[in-house]
Amino acid sequence: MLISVDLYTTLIPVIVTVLTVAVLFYAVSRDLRNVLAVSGVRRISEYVTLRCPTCGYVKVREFKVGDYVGKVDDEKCPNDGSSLVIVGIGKEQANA
Amino acid sequence: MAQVFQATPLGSQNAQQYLLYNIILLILWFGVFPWFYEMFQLWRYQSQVSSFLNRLRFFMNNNISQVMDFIANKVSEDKHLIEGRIRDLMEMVIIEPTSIEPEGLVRKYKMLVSSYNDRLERDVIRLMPSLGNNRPMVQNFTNVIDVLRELNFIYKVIDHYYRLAMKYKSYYLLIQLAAILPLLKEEIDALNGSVPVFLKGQPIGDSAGPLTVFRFKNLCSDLNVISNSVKDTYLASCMFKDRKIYLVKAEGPGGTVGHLDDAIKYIYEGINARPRLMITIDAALKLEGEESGSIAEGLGVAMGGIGVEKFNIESVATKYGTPIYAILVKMSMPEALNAMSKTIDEAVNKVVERLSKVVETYTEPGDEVVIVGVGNTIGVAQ
Repeated sequence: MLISVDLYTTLIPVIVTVLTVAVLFYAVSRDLRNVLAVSGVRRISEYVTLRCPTCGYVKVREFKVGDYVGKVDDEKCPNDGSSLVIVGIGKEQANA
Repeated sequence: MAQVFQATPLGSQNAQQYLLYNIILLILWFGVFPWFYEMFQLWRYQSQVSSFLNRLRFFMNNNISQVMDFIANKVSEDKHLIEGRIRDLMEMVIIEPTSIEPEGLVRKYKMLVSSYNDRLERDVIRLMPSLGNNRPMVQNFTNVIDVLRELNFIYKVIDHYYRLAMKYKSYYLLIQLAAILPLLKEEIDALNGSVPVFLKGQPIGDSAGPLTVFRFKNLCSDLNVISNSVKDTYLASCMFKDRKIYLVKAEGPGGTVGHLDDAIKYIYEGINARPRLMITIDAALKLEGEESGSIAEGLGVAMGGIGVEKFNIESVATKYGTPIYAILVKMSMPEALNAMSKTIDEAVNKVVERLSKVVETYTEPGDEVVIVGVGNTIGVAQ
């Protein structure tokens, strides 16, 4: 051999190579995670708050397409029979 | 190793080996490794940007599919034609008026924005005439087209710089692109999430202003709607603790921001009212350290956008000497564009309380007050 080889000259490049590959792998996987990550799967519940304009009775139910704040709902107040009005629409999130 | 680094007399075989070894090391450290490092970095940033573009392209196609699924049972027109036309509308450009002569620039912007909204609405009706009678649906669909156009614009700009960077192997251009990706990702997630919300017509975080006016209205008495005064804008007067209140918001439940500046001008010059105070309520982007749903009060017109309506409101208020009070509901961009969260919904109740206190504190019985709910009124009627 042209260049003399001993334990150090073989071991050091091997260690350096292994470390480099590990760092590269970590860097690339972190990059891709940052760019592609979709925030954790979440359970979303969309709710509608209904209120009786006469007695103030409040009820919460699931949102349906066509609901909007100010809409007079089909549902009646159990206290006085008035039509309930939608006063709020929102969503709650929880990590699944 | 020890043998190699040992000082050896020149001319010997060991000295030649030593020299050769050092030359190879020199080439490796200063020639090959930096080149390899730069290539690796280039590949690393390239993969980040290209993955981002793929993701964005997927989002756009997915959103168009969602739109097509949503309208499948609602319209009778040819679906392929509609999809093609939506893609055409996504390419629509708006050319800003020249600012080399600033005289009348605000009026030009206002005309441009109005023309854009009218044109988009007319295009949606032309595309799906069966929606013509359902104005809120047309307005919501216009919002969806707007979001798709925005996504398409971001895609094209990033793609342009990505291709330029690859064409000229520009390492620094790629670094700049990669550096803004996390910020863009947040904006794109927000826009992407808003499409199904607009299709369903749910209130978004930005509806906090109009929702405040809606809830405040329930505390008033003697409500009198001043109808048909300004397009797409709700204007009413009512009494609250012996003060005459003018309520202004975009007319819902379709997705629109209305023409609030025209409504305020109408209050002063059409009705000849002289309000003692004007209060604007709007959603505001929070800083990272701030909590969602936190409320800030201040002075001035709380209003985003390009500034046309803000300018007009400031001009009217200045002309008649009315102080302007602002109440802001802090939220992130995804919260502003997505379905209203429970936190924001609850914050609106607190804003209504604060609004009542502001009216009581800064005005006297008999005074007139204008309350303006700024923002997109999607899912919020009056």
